[in-house]
Amino acid sequence: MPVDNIQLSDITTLGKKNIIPSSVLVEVCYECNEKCVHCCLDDHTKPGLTLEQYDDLFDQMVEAGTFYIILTGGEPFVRPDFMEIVKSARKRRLSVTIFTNATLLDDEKIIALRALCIDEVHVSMYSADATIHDNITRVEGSFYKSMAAIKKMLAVGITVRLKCPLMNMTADGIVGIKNLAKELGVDIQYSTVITARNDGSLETHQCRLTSAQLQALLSDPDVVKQGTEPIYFRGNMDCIPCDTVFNGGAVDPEGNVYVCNQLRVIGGNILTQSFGQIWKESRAFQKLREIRLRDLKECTDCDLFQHCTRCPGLAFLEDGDILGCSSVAKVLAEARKKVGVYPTEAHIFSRPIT
Amino acid sequence: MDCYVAKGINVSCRTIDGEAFIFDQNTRLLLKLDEVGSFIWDQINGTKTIGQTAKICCKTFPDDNEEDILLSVQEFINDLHDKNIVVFSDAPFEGVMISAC
Repeated sequence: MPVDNIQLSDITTLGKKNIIPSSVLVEVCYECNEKCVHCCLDDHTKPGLTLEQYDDLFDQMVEAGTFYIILTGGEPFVRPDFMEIVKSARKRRLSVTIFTNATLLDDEKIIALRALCIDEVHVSMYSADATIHDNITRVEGSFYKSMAAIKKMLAVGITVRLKCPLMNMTADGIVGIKNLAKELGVDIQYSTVITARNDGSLETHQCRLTSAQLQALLSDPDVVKQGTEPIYFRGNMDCIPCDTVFNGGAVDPEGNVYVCNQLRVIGGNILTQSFGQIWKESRAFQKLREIRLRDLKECTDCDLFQHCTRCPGLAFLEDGDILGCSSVAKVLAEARKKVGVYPTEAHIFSRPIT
Repeated sequence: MDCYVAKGINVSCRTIDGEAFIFDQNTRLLLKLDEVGSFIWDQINGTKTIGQTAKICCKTFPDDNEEDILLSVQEFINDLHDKNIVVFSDAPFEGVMISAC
């Protein structure tokens, strides 16, 4: 009875091959106690499904082969029953990561999270400067509340990661946030793209990095891992634009199922169909899975192709064509070309299923 | 002495196409079991002893030598115990993590 040590990527590869939603993001509410200037949500009123409905959803995810879930909001801890939702997921042996601003975490919740052996807690931190952070959240004192919770979580042994979407008003403080993470002993997950809101409105774009800031950050290997050589995907027109359509999954607070929370194509609703059935049988999802590099006519002829990390979801949301050029990806690709760096293979197009 | 065996509270797992994937949240060790190991893993629910689990294996794999199966199951579960993947008890387990898994 051999026991093999494997990598987490082996599970997602298996998911890709067998169309299993290995890693699913679950938005348990859109309500939030912060009012972040760059937030992608257009509606903060949706309270989420009931605890019993989440019990049922997690059962269906187990049946469908889901291994990890991300629980997020809005701010998930605004739900008085959120700890019960976490417990429900862990009871079913799902590996749980939580995205939160951590401001509502108290000692009792932190100890309970540790006891439930959750995987990681990702905390949104925008700057090491409390004033700048609070200006983004538009809640005075939020920086110190988040920091206090991070320190308490680390003290009890919870793995914490900082989520840091970079904006024009925070980019100059990149050294500060790096130092903050170093002092805390945690990793940072940066993002260089501020997306449109889910309804397609673009006012969040005013937070985006300037071209000069973007080029400076793309030169920083701590912020974005870059390749020095291009990946020659163009030679294989069967490449897949995004693996998430095969092995991802997202559920919004009303029970709508997406392949990814960024790709706003609804496959069905878990209140009327099972999660597994939607994942496998939704015609909308099947059509997304049929898309190959050859279908992206603008990309195959584009001289920025080797520098590009196009997200189909953003192309659809911001530019209205899932097969067309993504304007934000183009800006990033132009910056990479100027800096002379390339995306790594993990960034975008992946090999065909074999 | 025979004892009851349960999956550790630190474990996340899923069986896909007859293969069990086990993730230890504390050590971040990820394991994949083969077909027989996965069958045994699926039997571990806190309500069976190692001996009872081995007997179920004997019924499922009748062509194999019973004594060999008993020894292999014992060895396999002890190995998982050494890796802190399973826990032992003199009495059946109860609790939030045990019932569903």
